[in-house]
Amino acid sequence: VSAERYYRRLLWAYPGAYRRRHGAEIVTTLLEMAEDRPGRPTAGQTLHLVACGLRQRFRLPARRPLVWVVALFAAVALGAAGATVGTWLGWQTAARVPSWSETSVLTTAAAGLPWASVEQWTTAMNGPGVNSTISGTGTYDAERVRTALTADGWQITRFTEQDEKFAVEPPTTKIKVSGGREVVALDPGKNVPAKAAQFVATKDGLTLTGGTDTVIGGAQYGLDGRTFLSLDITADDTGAVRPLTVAGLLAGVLTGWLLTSAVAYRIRRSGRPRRRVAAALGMLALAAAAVPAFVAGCETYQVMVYDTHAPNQYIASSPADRIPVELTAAGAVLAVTALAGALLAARRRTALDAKPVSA
Amino acid sequence: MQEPTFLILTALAEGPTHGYGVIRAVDTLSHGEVVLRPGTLYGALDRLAERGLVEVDREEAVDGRLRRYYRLTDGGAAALAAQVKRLRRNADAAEARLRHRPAPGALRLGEAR
Repeated sequence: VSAERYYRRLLWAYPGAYRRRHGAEIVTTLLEMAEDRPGRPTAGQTLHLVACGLRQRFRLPARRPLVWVVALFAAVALGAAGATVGTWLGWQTAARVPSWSETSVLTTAAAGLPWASVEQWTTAMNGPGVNSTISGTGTYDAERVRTALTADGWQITRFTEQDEKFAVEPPTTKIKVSGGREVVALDPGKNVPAKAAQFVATKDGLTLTGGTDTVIGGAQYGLDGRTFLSLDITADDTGAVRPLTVAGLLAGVLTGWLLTSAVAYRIRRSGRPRRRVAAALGMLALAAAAVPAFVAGCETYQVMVYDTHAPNQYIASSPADRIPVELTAAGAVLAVTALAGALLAARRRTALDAKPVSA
Repeated sequence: MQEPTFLILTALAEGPTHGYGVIRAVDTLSHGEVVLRPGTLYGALDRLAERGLVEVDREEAVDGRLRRYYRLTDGGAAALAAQVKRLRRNADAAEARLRHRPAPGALRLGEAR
């Protein structure tokens, strides 16, 4: 490999536009230095040139405070987006939650009733889950629940049964007037006995928590045999979700900063009318990104603070819940479109690029 | 203003110079104390051009290689002059204080042995 080609290869560390403007003269300087002091450049010199090239990629135009603000915002926005992608990737390593039909079959077998209502959901850590409920008139049979779970491959880790009372008429407060005095009396209400069970089971990276209860007696109220059963199946975190979320966050922050640097220099070099259009579109992209970035930020926060040791996987409410999904999606689409428009408007003008920096 | 920047502007003060010329001039000016590497030089030249302190003077092709000469702008000359003034003032102040420094081991007024 000739020295010149070697130097040109090192220059790949620099941003393209910078390389096109300064590449040739840097190679000349390196060759002239090599002629004075023959021999290949030392590892230190090579590393220094590559480090300078990478540093150039992070630089923002001098004396443009607004560009710094934009770079910070872009880093935060893309960091949040990257973290969301990282979370999604992390959950791809987790076990698949059972399908609608698989869950339905398990629920009907455990409850001994037809027609389960199955719903997909996501935990506050954005993990996949499925919830299934069933109700009807049936019988209480703990063994049937155990058998249904075991037959489906679940390993029962906890199973507790208890006698309960089902309140038919809730306790009420009555005011009785006797001899001109008001007396407050508590009516005990009426209860019907019920049997209930709570259980937890695991299967290949999945956790199932559930409960069932059946009213015993209470025929006069039409309640005898009223049965309810509910199952929640969620995928366990494999330990990859948080590291990948952080990795996605860092990659997004880096991309946001580098993108701002590249776009800012590109806009700077384009002609005045194009520069105005590109800058306006760039600002529009940032404004549109605000809502999706906020939502992604809230989601990421929930993923990072989620209590994986909680007895039940849960959904947490966040301010982002009040923002309609359509608004978030529209913001993201508008941001990407406006950014693409800004890049197009400030597209390279090769004729000017070849001119010296003073042009 | 950092020392390499100061030396680069000084190297260009006499007249337009190309990249390697600046590196050699800085080496001479600093008596070999500041070794300017190409990465640092072109990073600094780019920043100085952005700030309007230097500009491209001309380009020459020597043996098929591109040589780009840079020159100091009026703004650059003013910035260099201001820095020279600041450095001289600081150097004078340091020199004056050093002259008043008591000889090592000498007893200062009011100081108990």
